[in-house]
Amino acid sequence: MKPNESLKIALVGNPNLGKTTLFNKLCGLNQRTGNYPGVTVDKKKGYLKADGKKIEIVDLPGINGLYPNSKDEELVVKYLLNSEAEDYPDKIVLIVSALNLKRNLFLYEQIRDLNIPLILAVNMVDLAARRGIFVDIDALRKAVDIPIVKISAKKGTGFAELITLFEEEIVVKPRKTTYIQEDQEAILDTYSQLTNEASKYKAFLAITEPNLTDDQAEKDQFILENEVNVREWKTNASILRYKHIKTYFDTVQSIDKTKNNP
Amino acid sequence: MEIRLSDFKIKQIGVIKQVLDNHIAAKLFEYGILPGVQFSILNKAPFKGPIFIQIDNNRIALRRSEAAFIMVE
Repeated sequence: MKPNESLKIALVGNPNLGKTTLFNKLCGLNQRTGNYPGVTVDKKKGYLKADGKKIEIVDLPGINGLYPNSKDEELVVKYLLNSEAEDYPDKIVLIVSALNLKRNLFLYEQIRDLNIPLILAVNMVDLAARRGIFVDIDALRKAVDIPIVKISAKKGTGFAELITLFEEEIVVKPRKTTYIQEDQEAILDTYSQLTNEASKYKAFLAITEPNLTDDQAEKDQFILENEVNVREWKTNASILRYKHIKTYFDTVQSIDKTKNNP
Repeated sequence: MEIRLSDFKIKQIGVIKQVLDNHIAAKLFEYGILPGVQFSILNKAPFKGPIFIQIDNNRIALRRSEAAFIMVE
């Protein structure tokens, strides 16, 4: 962040869980929202005043993972990966919904490995509880190593805590990889050193997703030389991530079967 | 016997055995369609239309062509 510029915060999350609702409430704007996925298709900027300081909030379309499947997903993924860009955010707020926590945590696991300062905002906790899905925020806090806030985007609760976190320094350190088989990790290490990529997961994405970076010829060469099965890497990564989520998920969520969910 | 998700009938409950290697496998995994996961068929649209399944609290609609990649029991 340059000294005179305002802090930039990006709102990221799966589709249809209240990113734009939160954005509107934070910035006092009135962007279009709707209870179906795909309402937001472009980056939108808004401003928030906290303690006399201006904070820039960027609202993004929802994504399911870091492998883009459509134009609006591609926009988000490229935005998150290009740390050199001028409009790169200082912090990310990842919004997850208590109704769909497992799938949302999958996105968390991916974004966590980008090592960007990250805040987890858990939305719809009360609504989920009414439908018999209970999320233990304290247990979740133990499971992840970043700040967590419980919010209600619709009612506007938890915002004060969230806004204080905007201004706090958050350090997200590289952690142990959970998405690659041990015997293949050395190949990934070689590639990240070769390309000077500090985040191992970014190197992983560069290998497995052809459209994200430009040096395709070199990449193909590397993939060929090391006999990387790109498709296998990709699918294994998802399986391993879900496995990792499973190790802590039962402590976080419990379901009351007598209530008719969802 | 090899049964595909697309062969299941409405309201049937099953477990995913395997997702065949294909171009959308990674996408299916992203949505939580993984081996060992329980699912139920909510609805099948007529005229070879999409299949609606539920996994945990997630409702997912799949094309028949996509559902054919998913082996179940």
